[in-house]
Amino acid sequence: MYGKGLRALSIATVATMTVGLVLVFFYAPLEAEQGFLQKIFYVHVPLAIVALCGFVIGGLLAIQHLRTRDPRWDMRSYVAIHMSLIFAVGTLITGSIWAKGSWGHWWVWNEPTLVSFLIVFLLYATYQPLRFAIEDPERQARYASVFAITAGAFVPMNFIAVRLSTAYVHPRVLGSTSNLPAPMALTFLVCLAGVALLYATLCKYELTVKHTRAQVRALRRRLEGTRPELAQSRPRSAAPALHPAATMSARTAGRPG
Amino acid sequence: MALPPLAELPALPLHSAGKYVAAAYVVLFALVLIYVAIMALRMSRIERELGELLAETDSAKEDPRASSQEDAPPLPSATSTAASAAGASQRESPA
Repeated sequence: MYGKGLRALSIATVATMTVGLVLVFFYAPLEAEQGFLQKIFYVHVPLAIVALCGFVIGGLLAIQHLRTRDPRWDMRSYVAIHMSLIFAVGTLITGSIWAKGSWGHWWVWNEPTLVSFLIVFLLYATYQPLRFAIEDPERQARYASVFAITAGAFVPMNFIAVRLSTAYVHPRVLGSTSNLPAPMALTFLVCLAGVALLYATLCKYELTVKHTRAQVRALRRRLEGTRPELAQSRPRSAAPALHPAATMSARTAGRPG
Repeated sequence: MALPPLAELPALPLHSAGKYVAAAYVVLFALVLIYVAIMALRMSRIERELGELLAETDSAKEDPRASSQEDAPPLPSATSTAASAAGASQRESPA
């Protein structure tokens, strides 16, 4: 169910990212102040934007989970946040590399954008331990959804607060792409599209794997009815547990008799 | 002698800025590569579990003691689904 369209999405991602890389290194002009070092901008900023948007999307999916109590929404919210965390790690590492090359330091504590992003990252770093700490799958899903909604609301608030504060060093991107020269703006937008597609592809990939695994577990549980030696309890996990009804009902419910 | 415009002068020489730029892009691709490798491991585990389920259903068919239990819940859909799922995985595998 989740695997549908995965191949087309993967091809689109690879194509867009390849075009983006070509534009970065062969089309976009060197920036006046930072020169070649500014090429990091085309990977660092899209990663940050997509990661923050992914956190917000995770919150929106969690709202849907609390509304419907459907574990599939919890799974989607979990995967969105999980993937955003990975992208956030990429943002922090590429940002540190850029800071070292540009400012001479790996990290600058008095720069609000950096510190606020680190706070958001650390906040979401507690998401998995929170899930793992709760054994009951339904309670785990409910509490995780509440967390995702609260933290998801914190992300734009944090973003706006940083904007309102006086940023004196960190370059501004959102709302100022019109200030970029046209070749730079085009390159940036292609890279942003590529990273967004990468995010969507990896989310879909992980959802497909998790859904397939849940189906295999549901099959195993059914076989446990006749073969007790096959009985195997689900190990404690931070990942959401899809109910057998959610995975197998689509195949069995529609059958006559 | 006129100086070149500022835009043509990189802040850092290419040989020193290049390593930072390369490192940033390598980080992105390393992250993606590690993630895909982990997912591939998970997929292979699922494939192995499907193979085990197929073997169990085959042995259940051959063993009349297991298949003729009176209190066993009906399993035609489960076994056929397992067989078809495992069969599908076998069809997809290059071997």
